[in-house]
Amino acid sequence: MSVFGMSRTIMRNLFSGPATRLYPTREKEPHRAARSRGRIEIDIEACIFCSACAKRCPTDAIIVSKTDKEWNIDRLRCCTCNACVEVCPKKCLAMGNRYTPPTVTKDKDIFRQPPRPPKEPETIPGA
Amino acid sequence: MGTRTVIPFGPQHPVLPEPIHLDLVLEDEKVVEAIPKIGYVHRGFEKLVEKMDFNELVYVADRICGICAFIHSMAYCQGVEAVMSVEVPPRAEFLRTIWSELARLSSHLLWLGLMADAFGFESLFMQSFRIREKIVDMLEEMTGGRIILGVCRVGGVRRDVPNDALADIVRRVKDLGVEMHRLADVFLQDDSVKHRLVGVGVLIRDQAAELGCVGPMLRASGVSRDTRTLGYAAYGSVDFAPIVEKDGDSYARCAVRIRELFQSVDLVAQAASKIPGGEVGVKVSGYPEGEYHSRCEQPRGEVIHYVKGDGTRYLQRYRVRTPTFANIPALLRMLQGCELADVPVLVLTIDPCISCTER
Amino acid sequence: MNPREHQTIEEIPAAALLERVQKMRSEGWRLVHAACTRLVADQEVNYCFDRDGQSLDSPDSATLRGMHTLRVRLPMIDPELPSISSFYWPAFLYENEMHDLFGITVKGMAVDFHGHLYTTMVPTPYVTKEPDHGD
Repeated sequence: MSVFGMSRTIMRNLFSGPATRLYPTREKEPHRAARSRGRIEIDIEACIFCSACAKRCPTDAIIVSKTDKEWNIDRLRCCTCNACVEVCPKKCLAMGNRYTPPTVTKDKDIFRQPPRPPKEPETIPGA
Repeated sequence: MGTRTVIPFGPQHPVLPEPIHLDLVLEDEKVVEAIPKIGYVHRGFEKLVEKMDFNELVYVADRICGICAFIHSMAYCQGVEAVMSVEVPPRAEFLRTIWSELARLSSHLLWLGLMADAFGFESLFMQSFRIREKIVDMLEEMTGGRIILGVCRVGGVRRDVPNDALADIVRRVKDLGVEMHRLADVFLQDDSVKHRLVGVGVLIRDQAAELGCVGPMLRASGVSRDTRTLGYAAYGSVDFAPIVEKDGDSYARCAVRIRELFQSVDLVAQAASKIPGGEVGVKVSGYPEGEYHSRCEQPRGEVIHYVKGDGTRYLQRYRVRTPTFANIPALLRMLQGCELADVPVLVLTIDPCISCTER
Repeated sequence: MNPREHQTIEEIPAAALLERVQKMRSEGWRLVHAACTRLVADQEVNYCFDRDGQSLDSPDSATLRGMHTLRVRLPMIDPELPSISSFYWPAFLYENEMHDLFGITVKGMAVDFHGHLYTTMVPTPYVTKEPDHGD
């Protein structure tokens, strides 16, 4: 017992298959991670560019430009704290369950709202 | 009497997860003196109080350490809550207790794995991490984060967990307890493990107290001191006693941590069975004015978060004294007179967490 | 609901520090923590002591838990303190930190790193750099 204490575990592991996943080909089952803080998703159509998320962001990862109708996020700065999602008045921000894929460049994710026809905004239905 | 040699140990060494440097003065194979050098990962977290207001600082506190993250944020929140006289709803207190016990499980399993790796038992290391992964998965399910949970906030917690989900977690943690028993048997009974741990780095009771040890280091030497007995969060409502071993060697420290695994499983079950309903957070208004030393028991021992506010958005001072900071003097004392081959085991036996020590 | 700890603070002059610390030690207190705080015009050093959660005011009470703090006020320029590491050996780490980050000269430390415990770009960053809140 004292020397072979590990052998039972080793035999069990030998026949029970690996405990790890081949990551890029097999990802984690999503139901397990339904609450995971993966990355911030935005519904850019609904955004009113109020900058509340940018003000609350503790890492200054979000930059909002009202004039250009642009919302961008630096994924590598973002610490997925969920503060922007909680503060968004239009609820157009959401916490996605998937993580940001690995990257080799420090790019920003830019979301631009398509320009709406300038006149009669009430009658034109959304795209 | 041999000639004296100085061997640099670290800051990069296969056994060290984090950078600490020791100058080991050797006489043949015996260490006669160890001179530490830290400061490789000093990031000036405490200076960040000038840039971030006291609510945002929770995210910083969460990231002080990668293996005891939750308890740091909880200690910080408790400090600010004490300064501002905020009463946290009981449900939030119980959730904090459950999460900090799960964090303790994950941290102790990590330590056991690293320890096994340090004395060269690779498959035991893998086995520890295999169990730990399931704990980390549970934390992710409940809070959204695996290590940095990000659920604590001043005035409560940010996410609630439904009672049936909690019951499911308790069932799974108890199932894991069976696997942990098999792991514990190897650590505590295997001859090859005992050979590396028994009688190595003995600290007797008086020495441990004198050197200001905290946590499992202290309890392995026979001093029954556990900050959880102060009854912060919901620890006043659950039933437990500090785990104490007498021998004060590396084996005793290993045994304390292993027995704490089962204690944590029990505490998670107790807290989940007693959890009351209701809100999980209160709205906090105003700014902190006053000071408080908030104490919590981390997996590595007692942590102190000193919070001082002057009535503005920004705190005046935020200071963290981590358990490793208190255990370094004991490490230096233990290294005197040990064999060179035992140095990695002794360094790991204090469960060093250098990044949070330097902040 | 758990009662919060009862934490007491006692302000003492720097000259009385050693004597007071010696008394704490003989009464069986352990050193929990020592740290420095930059105030507006001067700085303060806190030494926290604990005796298994007892409070200084009522040592017999099991419900009133707490810790005791000795506080020393120091000037911003050329602050100096005697080392308490002859009573509490582990204090040398805290004292080296005070020296490296706050520029306090601590006399007679058990282990003196001569300013090499922390390597920072700006010497004594906590006092030389004014608090800057950004916005």
